[in-house]
Order: sequence, then structure tokens, then C-alpha cells
Amino acid sequence: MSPLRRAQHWLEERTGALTAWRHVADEPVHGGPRWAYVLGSVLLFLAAAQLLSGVALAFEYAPTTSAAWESLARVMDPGQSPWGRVVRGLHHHGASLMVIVLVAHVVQVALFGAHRRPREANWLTGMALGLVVLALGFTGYLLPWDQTAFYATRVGINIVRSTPVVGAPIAELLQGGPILGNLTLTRFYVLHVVLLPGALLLLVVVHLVLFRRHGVTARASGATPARAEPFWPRQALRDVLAMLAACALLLLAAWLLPVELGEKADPSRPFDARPEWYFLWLFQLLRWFEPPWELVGSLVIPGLVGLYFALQPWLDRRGPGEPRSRRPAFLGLLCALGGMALLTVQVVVGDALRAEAEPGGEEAAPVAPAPISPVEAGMIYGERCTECHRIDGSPEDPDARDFRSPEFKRMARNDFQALVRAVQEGGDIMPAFEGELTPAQIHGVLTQVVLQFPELREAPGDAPTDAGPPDGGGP
Amino acid sequence: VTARDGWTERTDVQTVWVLRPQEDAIQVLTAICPHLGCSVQWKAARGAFACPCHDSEFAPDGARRHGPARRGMDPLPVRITHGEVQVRWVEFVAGAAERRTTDGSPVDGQGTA
Repeated sequence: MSPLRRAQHWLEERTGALTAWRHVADEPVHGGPRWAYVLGSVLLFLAAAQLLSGVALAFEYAPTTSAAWESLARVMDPGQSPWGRVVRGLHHHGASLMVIVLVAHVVQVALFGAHRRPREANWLTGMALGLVVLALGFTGYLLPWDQTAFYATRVGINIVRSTPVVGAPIAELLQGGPILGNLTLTRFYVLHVVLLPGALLLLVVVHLVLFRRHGVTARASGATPARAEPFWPRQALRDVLAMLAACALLLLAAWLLPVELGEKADPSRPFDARPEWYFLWLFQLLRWFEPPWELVGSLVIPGLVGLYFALQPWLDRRGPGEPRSRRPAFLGLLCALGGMALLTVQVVVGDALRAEAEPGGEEAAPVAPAPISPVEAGMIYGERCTECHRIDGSPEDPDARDFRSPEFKRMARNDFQALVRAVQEGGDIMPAFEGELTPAQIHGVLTQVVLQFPELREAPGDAPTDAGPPDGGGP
Repeated sequence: VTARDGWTERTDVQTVWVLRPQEDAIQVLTAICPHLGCSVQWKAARGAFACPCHDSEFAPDGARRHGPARRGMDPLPVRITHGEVQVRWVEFVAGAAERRTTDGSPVDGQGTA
């Protein structure tokens, strides 16, 4: 016996590894190898890739409101490592690719009638897997703790909350406290890295065991009996090539389409929240229904769509399994998917048109330079000015200028630009803020300083007033 | 605004809309949409408050006009002390037709001062 054979024998005797391999390699592929059968393997590969990139990210990530965004910003800082961005890209685009391949897998299975008796249980575990993948997408969306994450999750949890009876307690459990914050992050983190991947693994095992029990479903074509060929090597080669293609596509996406980390979550700043693209059809549905029908859009239709998908094996029972006789059932499924695609396109096109109609996103007063929000101005004042200037304009530092002084007010009334220049260029103890703050920021902060004096609001010089309702002020 | 956040307290700045229905009156509305919690913005061109997420629209006084929101914008308790507008921050349960605060506290006043 050669040393290799001896080693194999040793291993086989102790673990049964060779028998296990033979079990995989000899899987009978009815009707011979086909490219259509690779999708399940590609999904398995993508799940493994998500696990790897996810673990790499988890090594660097801290799920708290004070650290989540910062820890991810560090990961994505090219100065730290050129690979952080790529790993995040792999994880982000990997999720999208998984959803795409998932849909393709569902369509292929339905097209081939591979969900029909006796494979109903396999179809149902597949549907459950799909839901777990979507839940992973939803929980992962919060973790970066940027504006997108915060607002999309607030909406998501509120949808859960609006579900009759069970909604409120589940929403409480998810949010973990009076505000969307630390405990929400820890809970979404545990869901995203422990519970949901665990469920995924378990369901994958059941799905594969059931798959091996029934085997692939060759597309019945006339009277030709389905001849079987072992999985190894011809189908295995197709699977491996498809996985390599998916891998290449993913690497390319991670390299060429950098994922942005938005601004850190801040409930005070408005943000046009949009969910991840594969949830956009649900998002659009919410817009369609006015009270008292709003639950139709948020729960009833999504629920019915889910039920329609789950019941496919029972809706598609007629006929001997030939594609022709099963055409109505398959077309129904395609219509459902087409409807989702249409709703998604509606959001994308609508947003594009809106962005064109409202450059800058907000209809603020057209003052130059582009204004900053009063909130941002207040924050800048708090961070940069309060060392010397108190909030009411009186000096904290005895040498600082008193904004309540007639001299300052005269300047504000007559020559606002002189104030802007004074901040930019600095003075005795006043630091120069040119380069530190943009002209818009300086303009905004000074505007808020000036607006706190009622007498200056009447004659604001060329200081901009807030854009607000005709009968009121600004935010 | 300071709130309990797990093992710590968090202080956030929050955004409100301040209206002046009359010369000597002030009304404050939270900018959080009563539908599902996006930030309501003023759309000058339409003369209305609008939510950028699901297109709920509200009149300049915050009353519900159309869209999926089940109630108008939520008023916040406000008072004027020494010429300063002081607003008590409360959050409201989103998605409901009736106005309830998330912490169960009663809302006093009509959101005007």
C-alpha cells in the first residue's frame, strides 16, 4: 500500500471521511449535469463568504452608539489598512448578490417544478432561508450607525410596532429601551452575528439533507426517461466554475463600487431615509395606502405575497410537470416578482426626478453661500465658540467681544460681511477660522447669533433669515 | 434632550418646527413624522410640511392633509420664559391614530404659548 493510500485508510477508518466524500461525489444528477443547477451551490458559497467577511468585520467592530460608527470609520480608513474598505465592500455587496442569486434560485426551482410533490418541505425550508437572509440584511443595515442606518431602522421598528397585538412587544424587544440607541445596537448585533447565522446554518443543513433525499428535478421533456450521472466530476466542475465567477464578481464589486459610510446617526438632522434596495418595493407600498388602509400596505400585501410564495407547491399541482401545463402557476410567480421590480423602479425613478427638481434635497431659502441648518450652527457654536463666548452672547473670556454690545449690533445691522471676515481672519484673542470652518458654516453661526436679538431680526442687514412657514420660523 | 440609553445617558439635540399662528402666539411641532418616524420637512413650493419617506403631507399648522400618516404632526408643550422659547421634549408612538407619548406621560397644553 502506498503511503497516500495508507493515510486515506487511516482517515477513513477513524472518521469515515472517504465514505462521506463518495456520498457527495456520487450524488445522482438526474438528466445529467446542467448549468441551471449551480445556483444553490453559489448561494452556499456566498453564505460562506459572508461568514468570513462578517467575522473579519466583527473583529474590528463595537456595537455601541459611541463606538459603532467610529469603529467602522477606522476599518474604512485607508491610513489604517487598505483592505478594510474591500472587506466592507465584500460584506455589503455580498448581501446584495445573495439576494439576487436567491431570486434566481427560486425562479429556477419553480420553472423546473422542483418544488412539487414530494419536495414541498424543501421549498418551505428554502422560503425560511430567504426570510433569514432578508432579516440579516435588515439587522445588518443598522450596525454602521450612520444616518441611513438610524432612520431606516426607526421606520422598520415602527412598522413592526404597528402590527396589531404582537407588534408592540416585539418592537420593545428589538429596540430595548425608550430610544433607538445602545440596546438596539446590541440586540441587532446579536441577531445579526449569532441568532440569524445560527438559524441560517441549521436551515441550510435541513435544506441540503432534504435535497439529497429527493435529488435534483430534471425538467421533464416528453417521454425520455431521466438518466442519472454522478455529481462528480461534470456537475461539480460547473458548480466550482460558477462559484469562482461569483467570487470574481464580488471582488470586482468590492473593488470598483466603494461602500460609503454616511454621516454618524443624529436624530436632530433630517434625512431622507431609504431602505436597502431589496426592501424598496415594501417601502413604496407604504405610500399607496391611506388610513384606515395603511396596514394593507405594510402587512397584508407583504404577508399575502409571502404566503403566495410559500404555497407554490400546492398551487402548482396540475399536470404531469411539463413546463407547458404548468405555465399559469409559473407566470403567476413571475408576475409577483415583476410587480416587486416595478415598485422598486418607481422609487428609484421617483427619487431621481425629485433630486432633479429639488437640487440639494431641501427647499431652503436660496441664500449664498448654501446655508447650514440652525441645529448645525448651534452645534458649531457649542463646540468652537463657547470657550470664549457664552450662549447668550456675553463674554466667557473677559477679553472676548460682547455680542450684546451696541458696537456688535451696529456691525451686524450695517455690515454683516465684516463679521464674517472678522471670524475668518481672527483678532486679538479670536482665532482665525478661515479653513477651519466653511464660509457657509461661519455665515450660519453668525446668523443664529444675530437672530437671538429681536431688534436685529427686524433689520437683519444682509444676514439671511430662516426659511420657514409663512407664519413662522425655522427648525 | 437627555434620555436613558442602556448603561448610559445620551444627550441629543432634537429638531422642532416653531410656528407663529398669531403675532403673539407660538406653536411647536416635533419634526418626527407621526407615520413611521422620518423627519418632516417644510416644502415652501407646496406650502406644506411633507415627509420625504412615505409622502405624508401636513398643513402649515401641522394638520394631516393626506398620505399614510394617521394623525397630524405632534405638538410639543411650550412656554415662554424671559423671552426664551422653552420646549418640553416628548416622543410619540408612531403609526397610531391617537396621540400617545412613548413614556406614557400626559401631554399638557395644546402646544401653544
